[in-house]
Parts: sequence; C-alpha cells; structure tokens
Amino acid sequence: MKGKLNYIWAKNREAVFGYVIMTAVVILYISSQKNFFTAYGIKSTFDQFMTLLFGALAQTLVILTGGIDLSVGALIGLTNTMTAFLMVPIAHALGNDMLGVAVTLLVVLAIGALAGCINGMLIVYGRLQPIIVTLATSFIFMGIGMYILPQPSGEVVSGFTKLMMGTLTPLKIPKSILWLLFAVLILWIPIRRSKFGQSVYAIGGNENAAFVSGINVNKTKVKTYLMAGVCCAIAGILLTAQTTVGDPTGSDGFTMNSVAAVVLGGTALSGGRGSFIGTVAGVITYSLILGLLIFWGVNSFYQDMIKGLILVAALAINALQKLELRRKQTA
Amino acid sequence: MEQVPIISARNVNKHYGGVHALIDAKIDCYAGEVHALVGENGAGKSTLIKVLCGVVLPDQGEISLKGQTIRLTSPVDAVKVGIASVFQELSLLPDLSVAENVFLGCEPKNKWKLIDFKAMETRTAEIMKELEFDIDVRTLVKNLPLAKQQLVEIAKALSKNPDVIILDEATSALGSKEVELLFRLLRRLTKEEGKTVILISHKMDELERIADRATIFRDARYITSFRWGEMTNGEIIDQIAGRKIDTIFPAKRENLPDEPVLELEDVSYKNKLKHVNLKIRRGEIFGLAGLSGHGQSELLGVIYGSEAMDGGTLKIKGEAKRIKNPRMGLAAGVALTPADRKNDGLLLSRGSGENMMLTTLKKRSRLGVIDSKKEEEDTRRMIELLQIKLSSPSQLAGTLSGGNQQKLVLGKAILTDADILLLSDPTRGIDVGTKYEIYQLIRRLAESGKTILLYSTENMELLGLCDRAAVFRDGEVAAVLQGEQFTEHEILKAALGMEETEVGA
Repeated sequence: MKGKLNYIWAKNREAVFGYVIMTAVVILYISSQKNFFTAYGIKSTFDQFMTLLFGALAQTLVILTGGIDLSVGALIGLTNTMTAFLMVPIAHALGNDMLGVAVTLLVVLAIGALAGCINGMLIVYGRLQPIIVTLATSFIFMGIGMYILPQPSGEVVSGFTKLMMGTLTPLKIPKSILWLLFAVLILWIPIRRSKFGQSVYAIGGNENAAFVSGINVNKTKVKTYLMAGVCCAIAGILLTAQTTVGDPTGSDGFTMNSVAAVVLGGTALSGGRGSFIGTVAGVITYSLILGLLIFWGVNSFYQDMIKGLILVAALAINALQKLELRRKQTA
Repeated sequence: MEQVPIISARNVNKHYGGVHALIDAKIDCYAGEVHALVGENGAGKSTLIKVLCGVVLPDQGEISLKGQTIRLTSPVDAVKVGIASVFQELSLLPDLSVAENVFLGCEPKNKWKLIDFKAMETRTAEIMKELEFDIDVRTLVKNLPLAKQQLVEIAKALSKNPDVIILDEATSALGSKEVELLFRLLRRLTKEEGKTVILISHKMDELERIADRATIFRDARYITSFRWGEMTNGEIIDQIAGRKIDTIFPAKRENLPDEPVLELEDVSYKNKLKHVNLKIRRGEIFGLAGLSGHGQSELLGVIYGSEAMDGGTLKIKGEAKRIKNPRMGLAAGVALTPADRKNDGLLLSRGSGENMMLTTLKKRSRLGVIDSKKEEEDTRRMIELLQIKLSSPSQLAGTLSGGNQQKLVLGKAILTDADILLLSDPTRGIDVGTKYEIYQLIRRLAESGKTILLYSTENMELLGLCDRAAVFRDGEVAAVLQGEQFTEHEILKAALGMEETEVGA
C-alpha cells in the first residue's frame, strides 16, 4: 500500500503545485463572488473554462511528446466557424434538428482530425519543427475560416446551447461538469492507459530510447496531432454552443492560454513529464484569474499583460523544478 | 572449429565521413560462451556491436545467426531474432517506473486493449526476483541510483529472452557487489542455458574472471581471436597497442630553458581540483595524465576561464592573473581546443574558413567592420600550415573528416597568437595517419616557443609527445613524471594510487 502511494506521489508530484495554486485562486474567487454558491454561479464558473479545457487537452498531448501546437487557437476558430456555418443548412436539408446537430458534429470532428493529421504529417514526414509547422498552419486554418465567414456570423439550431451547455435534471447538474468528467474519464484515462499514451510519454522522455524499444515514433506523433485536432474540434463545438455564432479570428488567444494552462499544471515543456490531471488545475486557475480580472474591471490591455506575466511565472516554476531534479541527480 | 557459430559477422565495413570505423571486421561467437571484445578507444568494438544489434547499418558486410544470413535494419529486428543489447549510455526513460521501462514497446494488455499495469508490475517483479535484483518495480527510474538503473537496463534486455546478449561497458556504473551478481548471472545464462554473451569492457580484471574467448580489434580492423588463457596479459597488450611508440611520435626536446610561463599555486576548484601546484616552461609540451575525470579537464577550464577557480594563484609570465571568463583567457594569451569539437569547437553548418576566424574577429576588424582581405590571407596561411584537406575555404565544417575538423579547431586556437595552448584530447576519433600529422604540428608549435598543455585519454600519446606530465588522482597532482621515470607503468601506479611518488615541479 505504501509502495502504491509512493508511486502515485512520484508520478504526480509536478501536478501538486498546480492544485495548491488552484486552491488559493478558487478561495479568492469564491470570496469575491458573492453569488458563487447559487446554481447559476456554479454553472457560469464551470462554463467559463470548457473551451480552454479541451484546447489544453490538445496542447497537453502535443507537449508531452516534446512538441508544441501553435494552431490550437486557429483550429478552435475554424471548427467554431464550421459548426455555425453548417449546422442550420444541414438541419434544414435533413428536416430534423437533432439529426442535423449530430451530422454537423461528426463533420466538424472529422475536420479537426484532418487538420491535426496534416500538422502531424508535415512534422513527421517533412522532418520539420512543430513550432514552425503549426505556426504556418494556424494562418491557413484561420484563412479558411475567414473565407467561409468573413464576418462573425452563422447560427445554430434552437436548443443547441441548452443541449450542450444546459443543466441535467433532476439535480440541475451543469453539463459543463459532465464535459469535464468526459475529458478526464472518457478521453484522458484511456489514452494514458493505452499503448499510444505510453508511447507519447516515451517519445517525450527520450525519442531515441523509444525507437530502440520498438515504438513506432512516426505513427505515434501523427496520432498525437490528430487527437489534438479532435480535441480542438470539441472545443470549437462547445464554444459555438456558448456564443451561438462562428468567429474565425476570435479564438486566437486560446493558443497562448492553452500553453499557459499546461505549464501551470506542471507538465514539462521538454516533454515526457506531466499529465492532463495537472492541466485541469492549470485550466481552472487560469480561467478564474481571467474571470477575476474582468470582475475587477481591469483594463483589457493590462489583462493581456497579466496573462503574459502568468506564463512567465509558470515557466519559472517549471524551470525551478527541473533544477531541483538535476541537483538531486548529481547529489 | 566444426561447431557452427551462433552469431557471426564477415567483411563488415562502416565509415563515418572520412573516418573508417570498421574495415573488413569479422567475429564468430559460439553458444555457451562469454566472448569479450578488446581494443583501445575507437578500435571499432562499439561500432561492430551496434551493427550486430541493428542500431547501425553497415556500408557492407554479412551477419549470420545460427548459420543463416540475416538482415538487421532496426533494433526491433534484432530483438525479434533473439539479440538483445545493453549500452553504455542508458536508454531508460527517467520519468517512467521500472516496470514501465522493462515493458516499453511490448506492454501487456487487458481485455479492453488498455495497458494492464498490474500484470506489468507482477511480471517485472518476477523477472527481478529471478535475476536476484533487489529493485522496487514501481520506483521511477530517475529516483534510482545509477548502478540500479544499469541493472534495470540489463533486466529489460533479458526480459526479451534473447539467445545472444550484448553488453557494452555494462559494468561501468556497477559496484563490486553488483558486478559479482551480474557475473554469476552471466555464468548461469551461458553455462546452464547455453546462451551467448558478447561483452565490451575496459576492466581487464573483470574480463579475466568472466571471459571464455576474446577478439582483439585495433584501428577498425580484426586482429585475432583467442581462448582466454592462451595468451599472457603482456601479449594481449602488445596486440591491442600493436605499434612501437617511438615510430610515430616526433623526437622530444632535451634541456629546455628554465623559463616558467604558466605557474599554478594552490589552485582549487569545487571538489574537482585540490591545491594544484605546477610550473610549466616555455616551449614545453606538458601532459595531464591519469584516469579520465580526475580533474584534468577542470584544470584546463580554470586556466582558460570557462570555470572560475575558487582559490589559489595563477601566474602567466610571472604576473598574477584573475581569469574569470574565456574572453579574459584569450586576452591573457591562453587558447583552448575543446575535446568535444562538434559541440564546443565548431559551427558545423558554416564555412571552414569562417570557423577559424571566430575567436579573432576583433583583431581583423577596423571600427567593427571585418577586413575580408586579411581574413582570406589568414585562412590561406592556416590551411597551408595545417595541411587541411578541403575543396575551398567555404566548404562547410560539418562535411570535413574528423581529422580535418580537428585541424580547424587547432587553426582557430593558433590564430589567436596565444602563447599558451590548452589541447583537450586533440586526436579523439581521428585515424592514425592524421594523428601523426597533428603530433608533428604540436611539436612544431612547441619549438616555435608556445607552451602546450595536453590532456589525452591515451597514455601512449602522452608518453610519446610530452616532455613531462602530471598524473592526476582525485583532483590532486599525484606525481610529476619526466625522463626515465616517465613510463606507462609509473603513470598507472600514480593514477591508481598504488604507491606515493614525490610531488614537485
């Protein structure tokens, strides 16, 4: 039993710091939001970080392999645009709203998968740096979105928002909490426990060792970016449910926000260390801080500056942890 | 022998750039034997082993397993046919547990097709128990001491149940207790289970205890194979070295004027250097000897300024200097050629001439603009002096052979006009012909009045080239050897601390 506990601690110690900060921020948030403990308060809080949650899941996967995905924001924007653009025409054509929603979502998920797959193929078979490839494709994704919807527009079928983001009777559980459970229990844990997940960690830890151990490095990398694309598509769909319009350029900020959330959650930018469990804390911390800034009426360009400062601080903590590890190894 | 070898290689050739790592190499290993590969650094042993386990593709050659020709294109191929290997550089993932590492790439799955961590841990624990390794399978590898990490690596290889086990310096991090354990295990695997072990080790006493047969390599070529015990140690060493020292080294100089250029008094650095006292004369080639990692590179670093010394005095031409960084070192007339020329010495993707100019940009520029005429002139002068073989000065440094790259690094140092040259392993990974040229060059530099500190991992080189040498042990100067005392025997005696020798310079 003690061995098991030690093991869990050793595996998750990076995330612990993220949860400590999260707790502090949550307390600060609750104390400054008088109506937090109402059904509305809790729902609106959880609703705030849904999009970022899935964007950050995409980023976590990629960063664990030692890469980075700068197209997260643009891809969320593109999938948001496609959802708003396609949903009503498809529903009309099929003559059934719910069937239309289902088909639209499948199409949008496929778009996300395709976009991620393109990222992965370019990186692996073009032997290119992830940072450059995803920077380039981010402009392509955004460009396609702007071609389809030059201005923020489009619409969703009535009831879509309620379907995705409403509450579940009879207990009135906000659906956003279910989405969180979905991300952790249905997406993350099976990935972590599959051979694919193990390969992701191995590649991030030491690509050469992974190759020598018989892991198909190229295939795993392509799969990782593909999965990241699917997660971005989920984020884009949830964003559409919240805003009910498509805006190809409005999601730009998610790229940096996702990186910040991942780093706050203790995942190492060098890859191989960390987990989505930590990222969840990072997402909550980061979203609540942004919520507080808005609540306190902080001017929007100071908000951007503070976001930058948070990222720098998170990186510094990350670097300190690495330093401590090195000291332990040389001792 | 009438017996069919379990694994054999024929006519294996491999070269990296201009350096031949293997020339017509061959080997035969039989079931039930521990087969040692012996040779100096760079003799080709490691390359041959990498060919045998699919990590390196040979330019040509044939490998056969149990009499059948096989083609290995990746490490996975090798494992499939029953060849598993453990390398000197660990290939474990520090952030995964012991069990996850052992089963990396072949994880057991449950009925949901997910990894069955419990089964993985139980099976790893069984393997550890069978091998008598006392390791908790849930510990993350980064939290294990180095010796245990090496055992995990060995367990990982053996868990594949191979017929041929290849160990490249696999005992380097092990303590004597673990070595004992490993040897008992190897004996059981070979003698009782009929497996084959191929072993590289520089520790002769270990080989004496475990090896059944051995093959000697020298300068990328197969020399001979023999049953352990058929040859005396003296004969083995002759075969490994293979050449008489004086034939390839330039003549030494007698009677140097007593004109100290570099004086070190009580120099200390962290716990790597302890009260080093040395006086080195003008025109002298002074060697730094001893087992590697006993303070020699740190001493060079302290003199050059890449490491800041903690205590003591450093005098250059009688004047005390405080050198805090390489820039100050260069200003004081000290230049260094780093051992790792690819990482520390050269910009591989830039032109050769450009590389040599790097340390002296200021000297050749007026008001910040580089005088390209002078640059061309200097480049031509160096190419001529060092006889660098290149198509044009703009040829990329990365495309040159190791020997020519080393010459570039030397050229870079010479162009600084420094009086003191610190050379760290200047002939590492270079073929014999070019080595000879570099030796001549170093001697000529000394004759022109430069003072040279030479650190080499090859004793032959120090003995052949240096006028005197300090033997380092544990950060201290254990002995300063010269004249008739300056022999390999004395170096080893001082380096291993077998007997105290007079210290003084």
